[in-house]
Amino acid sequence: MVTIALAGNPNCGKTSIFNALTGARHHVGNWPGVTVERRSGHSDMGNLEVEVVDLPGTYSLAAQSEDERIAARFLSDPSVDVIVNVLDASNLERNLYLSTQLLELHRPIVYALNMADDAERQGTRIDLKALSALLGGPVIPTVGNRQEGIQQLKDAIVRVATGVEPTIRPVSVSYGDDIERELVKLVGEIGRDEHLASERPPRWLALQLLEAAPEAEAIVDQSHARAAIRAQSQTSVAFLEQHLGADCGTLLAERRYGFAHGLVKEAIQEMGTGQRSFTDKLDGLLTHRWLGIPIFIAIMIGVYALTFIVGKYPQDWIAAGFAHLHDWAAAHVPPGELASLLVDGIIPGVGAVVVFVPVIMLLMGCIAFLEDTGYMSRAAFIMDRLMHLMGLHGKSFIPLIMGTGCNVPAVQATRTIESRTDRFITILVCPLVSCSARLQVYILIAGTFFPPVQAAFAIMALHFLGFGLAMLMGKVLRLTLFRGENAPFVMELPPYRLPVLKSTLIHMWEKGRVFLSRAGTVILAGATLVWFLSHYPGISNRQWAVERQQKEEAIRAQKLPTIQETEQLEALQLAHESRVMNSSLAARFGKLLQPALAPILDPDHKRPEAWKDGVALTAGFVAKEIVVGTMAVVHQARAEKAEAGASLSPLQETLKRHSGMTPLTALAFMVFTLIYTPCLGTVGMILKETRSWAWTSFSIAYGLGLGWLLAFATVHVGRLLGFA
Amino acid sequence: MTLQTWIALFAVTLAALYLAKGFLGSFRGTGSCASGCGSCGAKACPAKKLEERLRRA
Repeated sequence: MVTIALAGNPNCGKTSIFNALTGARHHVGNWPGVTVERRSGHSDMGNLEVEVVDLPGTYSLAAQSEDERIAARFLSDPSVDVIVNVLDASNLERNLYLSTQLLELHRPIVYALNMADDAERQGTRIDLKALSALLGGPVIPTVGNRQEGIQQLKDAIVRVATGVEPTIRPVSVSYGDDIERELVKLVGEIGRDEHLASERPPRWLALQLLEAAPEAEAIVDQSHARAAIRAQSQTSVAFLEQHLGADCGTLLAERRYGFAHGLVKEAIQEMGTGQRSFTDKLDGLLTHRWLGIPIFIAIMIGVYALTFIVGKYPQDWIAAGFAHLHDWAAAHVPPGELASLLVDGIIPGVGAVVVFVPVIMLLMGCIAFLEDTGYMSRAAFIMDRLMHLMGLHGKSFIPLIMGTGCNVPAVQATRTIESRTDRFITILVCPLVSCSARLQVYILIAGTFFPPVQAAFAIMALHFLGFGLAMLMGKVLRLTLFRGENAPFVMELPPYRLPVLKSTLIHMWEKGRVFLSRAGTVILAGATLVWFLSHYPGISNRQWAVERQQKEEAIRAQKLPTIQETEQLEALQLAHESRVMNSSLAARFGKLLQPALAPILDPDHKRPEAWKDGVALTAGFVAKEIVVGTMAVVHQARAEKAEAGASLSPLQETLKRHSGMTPLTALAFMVFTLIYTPCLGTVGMILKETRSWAWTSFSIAYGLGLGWLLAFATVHVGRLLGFA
Repeated sequence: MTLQTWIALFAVTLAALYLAKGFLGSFRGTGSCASGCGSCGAKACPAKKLEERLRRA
C-alpha cells in the first residue's frame, strides 16, 4: 500500500483532485476551508494500491491553527510515500510558498497544476517543462472538477512511487550564509538523536524550529536531546534576529518568497492581466526581455561615471599626501639604496594603489546600495537568462557572480555543483569574470586614456566582455570537452526594499579597510621586489655612480643660474635612473617578452617603454593589483608629481606623457589584463578543486592564448576602423 | 656594502619570503588567496565561510 498526501493552499481545488483520484463525492466549495480535517480514500493506480489522504488547506507548514497543524503533522510523518502538491495555476506564486517548505521534506513530490484552464483564460502561459525541472518533480496540468489531466496525474504518481520518474531530484531553498550557518549548528544538535534525525529530514526540522512551529516543537519535545536542541534553537533565533534585524519567521519567509518569485519569473512565459503587485510591475520593467539589459547597462555606466567624478576629489587629496611623503623622504633620507627603495619603490608603488581606494569604496558602496534595494538580484536574473542560451546556467551562475569580487572563492563555490561536468566548466570559465583586483587596473588605465563617461563605458564593456567570454567558453567547452546536460536552478528575487544607509557605509568601510590592508602586505611586498628587480644590478654599479658624480660636479662648476642648474641636475638624475632601469633584471626580462607582446601593445614598434608593460603583467600573475604598483615603480611615476593642477594621479600623468600608449593600445592592455593567466591564488584554487595539473595548466594556457588573441583583435580591428 | 644596502636587501628578502609564502600557500590552500576580492583576511571572506560550512556539513 502506497500512501499519498494531497497538500495545497486553501481553495486550490484539492478536494476536486481527491474526488477525481478516488471516485469519492465529497463536497466541493469555492471557498477556503472545505477540508478541515484529513480524510482518506482508496484508488488503484496500475498495479499499485494507493491510499489518498486529503489534508486541510494550509499556506505554511509552520501554521498555528488546528486544521493547518493537522496538515503539517501528517506531511512530516514518515509514513507518507508521495506528496501531491496541488497548485492553483492562476495564483501560482502564492501557492509555491508552501511548495518551498514541502521541498525541504525531501519526499517525492508530484505537482498538480490545478485550474490550468482559469490560468489560460487569464492569459498566463506556464512553461511546464521548466517548472518541472526547477521543482525537481513532474508537473501535471489538471482541471479537477472536469477530471482533466487526472489519468496523467495518476501515471506520474505511479512513476514517482516506483522510482522511475526521471525529473525527481532534491531541491532546496538557499537561506543565505547567516541562516545556513545556524541551520548547520541546529542540524548538528538534532543529529544527536539518531531516531529523530532518521524519521524526518533534520534540515526541515531545524527550519521549523527557527520559525517556532508548534508541530516541530512537539516532535522535539519527545526527543532525549530536546534540551540541547531547544537551547541551540533559542541561541540561533536570538543571534539571527539580532544580526539580521527581523524575526526568524519573516527572514525565512522572505527567502522563500524570493525563491517562489524567481521560480515564477523563470517558468511563466506570459503573465495574465490580474492584479499585479508593485514588485511585479517594477520587475516587469527591470527584468523585461528586451529592456532589462539596456537598463542594467545604463545603471552601471551611471554608477561607474559617478564614482569616477566624485572619487576624483579624495583621489587628488591622497595623491597630494603621497607627493608630500615622497618629497619628505627624498629630502631627509640620505642618498643610497634605502632612499631609492623608499622614493622609487615603496612610496610610488603603494601610493599608486592607495589613491584608488576612495574610487573602489564609492563603487562598492553604490553596488551595496543596489544590492540592498533588491535590484542586483534582478540584474543577476537577466544575466542568468542570457546564460540559459549558452548552456551555462543554474548553479554555475552563483560562482560567476562571486567572481566579480574575487575568483578564488568563486572557484571554491563550484563545490555546490553536483555534476562534475558543470563544475569543471564553471571552474574553467570563472577566471574570465573580471574581479575587483582587475578593476584597479581598469580604473588606472581607462581614467588615463579616456574621459570619465567613456572610461565608465569602457569598464562596463570589459565586465560584459568577461561575462560574455565566460558564456561563450562555457558553450564551447560543453560542445567539446564536457558534453552533457546541466541541472536547472531557481534565481531568487527578493522584494524591493529601501536600503539602510548604515549597512551601505559598513560595506564601503569593509572594502576600503581590506584594500588598505592589502596595500600594507601584498602590494608593499610586491613593490619592494619590483624595485629590486628594476634597479639591480645598475644601482650598485660603482662606475656609473662615479660617472654621475663627476657629471654633477661639472654642472655645479659651471655656476649656472639656479633654475638652469636645477634643470640640468634633474635631467642628469633622470638619465642615470633610466640607465639603471634599462639595464635591470626586470628590463632584461621585459625585453625578452617584448616580441610576444609587441603585436598587441606596441604594433608600430614606436614604444621604447613597452617592455615595462610586460614586467607589470608578469607581476600581475602573483596578484592582479600588483600590476598598478609595478607600473608606478617601473615608470618612475614620481617624476610627474609636480604637475600643477593635474587632474590625474602621478602615475596616470606619467603614463599619458611617457608610456607611448594610445587609447587603443590602452584598451588592448585592459582586455589582456581581463583575460590572461589567472592570479596565483586562483591557479592554486583551481588545482585544489580539480586535483589535476593538466586542467590547471589548461586554464593558464587558454587564458593566456585567448587574452593575446582578443587583445590583438582589439588593436587591429580598432586600427581598421580608424582608431588611433 | 653600506648599511643602506644591507637594509634594502634585507627588506627585499623579507618581501620575497612573504610572497613565496603566499605562493606556496596558494597551492596548499592555506595561504592568503592573493587576489583582492575585498574580503580576504576578513571574517566575511566568502571562501572561508564556504570552507567552514562544508567542514561542518
